[in-house]
Formats: sequence, C-alpha cells, structure tokens
Amino acid sequence: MFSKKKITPVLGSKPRNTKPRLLFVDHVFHRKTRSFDFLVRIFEQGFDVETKYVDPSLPVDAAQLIDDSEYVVIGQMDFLTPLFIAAGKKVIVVQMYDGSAGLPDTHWQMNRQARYLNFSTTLHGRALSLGCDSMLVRYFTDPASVKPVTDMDTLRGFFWQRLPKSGINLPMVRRMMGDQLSHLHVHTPADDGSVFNEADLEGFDCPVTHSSWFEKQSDFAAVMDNANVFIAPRHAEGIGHAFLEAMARGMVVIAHDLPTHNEYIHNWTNGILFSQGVQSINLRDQMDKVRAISANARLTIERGHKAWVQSHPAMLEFIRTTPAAQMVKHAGLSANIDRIMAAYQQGRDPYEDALNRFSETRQLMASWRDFETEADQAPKNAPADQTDIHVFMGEGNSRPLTGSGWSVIEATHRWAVAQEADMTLPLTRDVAVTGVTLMARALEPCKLTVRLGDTVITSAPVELKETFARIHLPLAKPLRASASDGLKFTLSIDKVPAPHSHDPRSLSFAVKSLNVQTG
Amino acid sequence: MARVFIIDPVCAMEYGHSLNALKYFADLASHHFDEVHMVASQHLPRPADGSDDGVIRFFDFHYDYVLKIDRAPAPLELMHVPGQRLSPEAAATVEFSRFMTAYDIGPEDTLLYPSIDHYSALSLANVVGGLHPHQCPALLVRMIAVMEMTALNMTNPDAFTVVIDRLKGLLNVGLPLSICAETPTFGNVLRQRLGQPVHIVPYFAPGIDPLDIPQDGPITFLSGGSARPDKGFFRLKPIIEGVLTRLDPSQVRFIIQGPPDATFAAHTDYMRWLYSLPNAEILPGQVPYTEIVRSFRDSHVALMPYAQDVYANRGSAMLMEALMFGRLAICQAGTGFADQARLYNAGATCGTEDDFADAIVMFAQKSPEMIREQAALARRYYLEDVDRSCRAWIQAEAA
Repeated sequence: MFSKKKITPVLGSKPRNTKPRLLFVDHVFHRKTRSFDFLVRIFEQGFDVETKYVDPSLPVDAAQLIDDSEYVVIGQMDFLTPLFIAAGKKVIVVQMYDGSAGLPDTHWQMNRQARYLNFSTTLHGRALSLGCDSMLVRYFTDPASVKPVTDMDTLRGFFWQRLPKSGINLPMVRRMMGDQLSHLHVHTPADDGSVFNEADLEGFDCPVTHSSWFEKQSDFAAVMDNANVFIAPRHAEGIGHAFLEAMARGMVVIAHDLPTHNEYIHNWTNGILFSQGVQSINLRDQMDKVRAISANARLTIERGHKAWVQSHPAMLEFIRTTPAAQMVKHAGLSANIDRIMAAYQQGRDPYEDALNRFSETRQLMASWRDFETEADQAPKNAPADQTDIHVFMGEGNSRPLTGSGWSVIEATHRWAVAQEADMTLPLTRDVAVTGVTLMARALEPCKLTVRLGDTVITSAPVELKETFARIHLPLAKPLRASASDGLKFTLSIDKVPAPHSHDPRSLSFAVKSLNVQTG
Repeated sequence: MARVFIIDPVCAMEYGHSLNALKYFADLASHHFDEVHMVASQHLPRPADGSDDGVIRFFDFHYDYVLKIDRAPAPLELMHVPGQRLSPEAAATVEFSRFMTAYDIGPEDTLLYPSIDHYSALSLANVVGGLHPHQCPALLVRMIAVMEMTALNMTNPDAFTVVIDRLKGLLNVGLPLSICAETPTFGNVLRQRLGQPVHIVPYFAPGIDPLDIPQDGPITFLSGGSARPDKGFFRLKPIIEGVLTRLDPSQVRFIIQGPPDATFAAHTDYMRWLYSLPNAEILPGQVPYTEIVRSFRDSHVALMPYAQDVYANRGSAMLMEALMFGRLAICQAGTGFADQARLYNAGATCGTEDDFADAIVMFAQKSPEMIREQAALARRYYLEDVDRSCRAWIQAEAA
C-alpha cells in the first residue's frame, strides 16, 4: 500500500546523521505531481528527510509505515494521524483546505497531540477553535521564476478543465466570458475521469486551441506566456500552485469564491472571485481596472513571496519543538485506531460514525495527560468496547460535561467552589462500573465522599491532601448505568477550607482526572 | 534623609508599561531625593539572569478578574488574616499598613504612584486618612484613567467616583497630596471633580531611539498592538476599503497585527479578508519586542482608530512609542491622546472611518522625508513636554 523514495537533499552540506530524522508521509498521487517537493526541500534544511507515499484507498500497513524517525510530517493524509500519535512520534500534519475542510470536528479533537501546519487561513482558524496547535503558513510562487504578462490590450484565456463534472467547465467559461476573449487555450486532462468532448470547444467567438499533455514544462510555460486571463479549474484549493503562478505572472485570475482562492484574492483588486451560477463577468468594458488587477496580482505575489521565504525558519522551529505524543498502552486501543482509519477509507460519513462510536478511544487520545498508570492495569484481552472511561478536567477536555459547583477551567484541573460539586458523563452504551479512580486535592486536608447516582461509593470518607494524589475506589459490586442517564458523580467534602493562600477566589477541592473502570 | 518610594502594586509582569514607568520615575526622582525605592507586586517575575533589579516585591494582586498574571507563591506574612476571607479593599489595606510599618514610612518620606489603581487608592486613603497632616508622607498620585476605574463588582464610573471621593477626603483634611493626570483631557476631569488644579505628566517610553524612516516603497501605516474592538481592529475594514476607492494598492501599504490564537477562530472571515489584501502584511497576535520594533521601522504612520468612549480620557502607549520611534500617528478624535497628538503636531485626528481613509490618502501622498521631518519635530515637542511636566511635578513636591 505504500512505496518509498529517498529524496536527495538539495542543501546537503552537513552529514546526514547530524540532523534528526523526519518521515514525510505523502499521498501517492504527489509522487507524480511533485506537489510537496517544495516543502520537503524546506524540511531538509533542518531534518534528514525520508518520504513514504501512501495510497489511501489501500489498507494501512502500520508496521511498514512506522520506523525509527523521531518526527513524522503527514502531508494531506490526515487520517493517519492517530497511528503516529499512538506510536509516540512527534507528529505534524500539513493540512490543505481541499483535503481537510470536510473532516468532522471530532477528527481534530482526537488528534490534538499533533501540531498543524496550515496553508489555509480558514482551516487554521478551525484547528485553533478545536484546541489544536496550529501555525498558519502562506505559500507564494517565486515571481522571478515566471515571465510577467506585458500585453493587456486583448484578453487571452487559459483554462484547464480538470473537473468538468463539478460545473467549472467549458460551457461555464463560455457563458462567463462570452465573446470577450481573443483567444482561449484549453488543457483537457480531467481528474474525475471524464472523457473530453471536442464539441465543448464550439460556440466560442475566438480561436480555441487545446492540449492534452505537455511534454516539457517549457511547453506549458509557453502556453501560459501567451495568456493573460486564468480561469481557476476547481471550486477550492489546497494551496493553489497554478493560480498563484498565474498571479505571479500578472494574469487576471478568475476563481471560485472559496479557500484558498479567497484567501489570496481580494475581489476585483488583485483577481476576481465568482460564485456558482455566475452568468457573465465583464472585463472588456473596464480594461483600466483589468490592468490594475494584473499589476496588483503581481504585487501580491512579490510581497507575499518575501514573507513566505522569511517564514521558513519559524516553520522549522515549529516542527522542531513539537512534543512527542504520549499514549497509554491500553487494551483495544490499537485495534480501535485501525477501525477508525479503515472507516475513513470508506468515506466521510462512516469516518464520523466511527469517531463517534469509538468515543473512548478518541477521548483517550485527546486527554492523555493523566492516565500514565491506570491504563497498564487494563486486562490484556479486554473486548474493544469495554475500554475505561477517562475524563480530563483541565483545558483541552473534549468530553462534554454537565455539572454544577465548579469554577472556571484551569490548565490541568478544575476547582470546586464550595462543599459539593457534581458532574454527569454522557455514555454511548450501558455500562457496569467496577471502580473509579480520581486525581484530586483540596485546599487543606479534608474528607471526601463520592456518590455515583444515589450510591455512595466511598466505603469510608477518603482523605484529600493539599497535593494531587491518586484515589482508587473499587466497587464491591458492579453498578449499572444506562446510556440514557449517563454517569452522575457527586463529590462532597466535610468542610469548606478556610482561605489561607493568596488566591482570593472561593475554592475547596480540585479534580484533575476521573477514570471509570467498566466490566 | 529624603526617601521616595515609587509604588505600583499592579506591576506584576516583566513586560508592558508598568515596569518601564516605575524605572522612569525612579530615575527622575533620583535627582531630587536621597534614596529611591521601587515597589511592585510580589508576583513580578525576577530577572531571568538572577540579577537584582532593585525592585521591592511587596504587594498582592487583586485584579485576577481582568488580568491574568503568573502568580508567585504568597509569603506567609502577606496572607492577611488566617481563616478569614477579605475583600480586595480590606486585603489591600492590610498590605499597605504592613508596608508602612515594614519601611517605617514617616512624614519625611514621599510615596509616588506612577499610575494608581483602584484598591491602592482606597488602601492609601484608609491608612493615611487617619493621620495628622504633619505625620503623613508626601503623596504624589498620578492617574491614567485605567486601573483607578477597575473594581470588582462595580461599573467603571462608580469605581472612579469612589476613588475621587476618597482622594477628596484626603485633600479636605489637608494631607499633602498632589494629583497629576496623564492627559490634558483627563486633567480637566480631575480638576473639576477634585476642585483643585492638577499636574499633567504624559506617558513616557524611555530608552527608545528614533528609527530611520523607510525611503523606498509606499507610505506604510501600522496598526499594532492588541487586535481588539476598543483598539479599532474591526474598523480597519471600512477604513481600508475607503482607501482602496481612492488609491491604487501599490500607493499605500499596511502592517496589521492580528488577534492572538485564542480569538483568531472567532474572526476567521475577517482575517481571510485582511490576508487577501495585496498591500497588507499581517503580523501574528503575539510578537516579540524585536518584531514590534521591526514593524515600526518598516512603517511611517501609526493608525489608531480607537474607541472614542473607552479612550475619552486616556493616553496611549502606542502613540508615545510611535513618537519615540520617530513616527506620526492618525488618532481617533475625542480621545485623551488625540489632544496630545494635536499638541505635538504628531499627525492627524479623525472622527469617522471615512476621515481616517482621507487622512491615510493625505499622508500616502507625502514624501517619506516630509513625514520624517514632522515626526522629528513632534518627538522633540513631546520630549520637552514630558521632561518639563515631570520635573515640575516632582520638583514642586520635593521642594
């Protein structure tokens, strides 16, 4: 399911073994398009990079993918993230709007231990909103690598019909541009398997040329050199190398109003954005504006490229400082990750269903920090659906909690404000609780009583200390709880501690984590 | 021996303006007093290199509800009354009494607050209010219309009124209290409320040298600092749209500091719009000081469309830093700092977004050299004013 290729470092002045090893996991399609080579060259400035290409339509072979690399950068293969988190790697995911925007929120919630390099402003905002550590990077073509447009007296279009079934196709171009073009070149190979219909070339009021293959890069460049209007072929882009190259040339880019187009194009200033169903775009009657758009497009790329080059050291530092993922050795975890990844390969909806179904696995991966010891005690052959329920009370907790008596959330824990506080954990299935483990402390020593539903599960009040300590509460007889009711815990202490610290808030006891063992 | 204590209990972070102000006033006071002591919050981090910065760390911090700081463990002696929960005012009063005792403060001493906060003002009034004038230290209180108005469970106007009433009480019994305001506008407010003249001492950003002004490229406008509504972050869109109807993007450039990660997601659409501008550089929400300096170096004019109501009396550190770096500013009219900008001829003041766009267009058509000359003059006026007003205040009281 995968193949690997050693990329020869471009800047290989240092011996390879002085740099940390980085595995770059890329989509097999990019072996042909070389879309991420520019990134690999940047990574090679700080890491010894090995690239492995993965075909997402084939079963994942974890044993062959995971090697001894310290860092793993995943390029557009987001679904592999939990595999490398579970392996304890330093995981960085390069996200693209076209590939990642459709992922459910639970995907990010599960994979918070990874860092994200985002090429889309929109996706960067989404990753941040879901509690992930994300860095926004904005790619810009080197304007020196392309020939600028000089002749704007007539309008000459270029259109690659990549996805004719999407609606961005020759009939749409004909409708949108009418008789404004003096020449149109159409590149015809389609990504969606459509067979090119020559009849689509008819009906234009200008000469139309077409190509199905460029033998050399220079052949493509020659066609682009002759055009000054670029019609972007897709609704949305990951980075958008082609339209950014067109902007670098000073071509007037006409693109659908979605990321990343609308993250680089300020409508009618340095390009033109259209919505589905657009009837026409009038350029011919405002050629002064068209010339300004051309100049501004070039200006955008000239300025942006400088910032892009300057951002490389920060990008390398962002990768270098990624913490290694921490994962418990937990029965069923590996099998559940395999099931979640397999579900991704079946489509978006099965993937979301799997993320919801294996909520404990998701939770365990998202809130790893307090479960160093409990997990080792899990029975070796526990069925996959009998994983314990883990709740992390600090920031980053992704499990929806309802409860009362708690103060604002803190980085690693949550304080109760008075003598009693409660919380209800939602359940996805009926469970039998066999024990509960807490990490808790109080402002000063006191006695804690814990109730699960109406049943007191502390056989005698437990002493809470001033520092966090693990409190294990085994149940003599399993307590059944239904998915409809959830698990309601009530924690109470025998007295409210008198304030004796500098903190003026009303505080009594704090809980870091809660682990519910089920049988 | 004449001692002066420069006090700021809210100075709890090594960055920001409080520590700079503490050091600046300490330096100035050293010309008039035998002994100068700086007193800050006990939570003020110590220098990373282990050196002694000469700051006494004493007071607790009572503003957790508006400002998040890294708290140091509290020394036992500052833990107020064991077993009893105190209000912020009561706690601040206990601390201030202990401070007076610990340093044996007497009538020969001077207490100078570079920017007094609400609970310090109340604790000061509670403790010295009971003294006879000849027992009381000289009190120099500077007010900047920020932390005086910040109190738990009280609106800003009410909190300010409480402070004014307490200070008035001290004046009425003849205690040696001298008040100064950061801006002329706020000075007027204080004069009316207290019924006596006040000094004016502007904010000062010491140790900043003017930067060379960029000679190449278009005139560049800097919107720096926190990307908050009250700092006009969301007025940038109509302002820039207005500019782009009058100027080509190649004729003007913007450097804009974006929001921190915590609030970025809430403004993704707005950020996408800003990022798509062909003539804007967007900075991250948190930048190191070197990057702040770089952003001033690459710009010509600071853009400050701040909320008029919030800044009606307030000065602005951004304006003063811009002046010190040798840059002009376009300021929101009706703010405390707009008067200062006018006084120093430091740029332009505007009311609406359209006015801001017009002012940007006007400055964009000037040469960098014209801007440099005007900024250099403004800087000189500002420095002279600060020096004169500061000395006048301290000298008058020290004499």
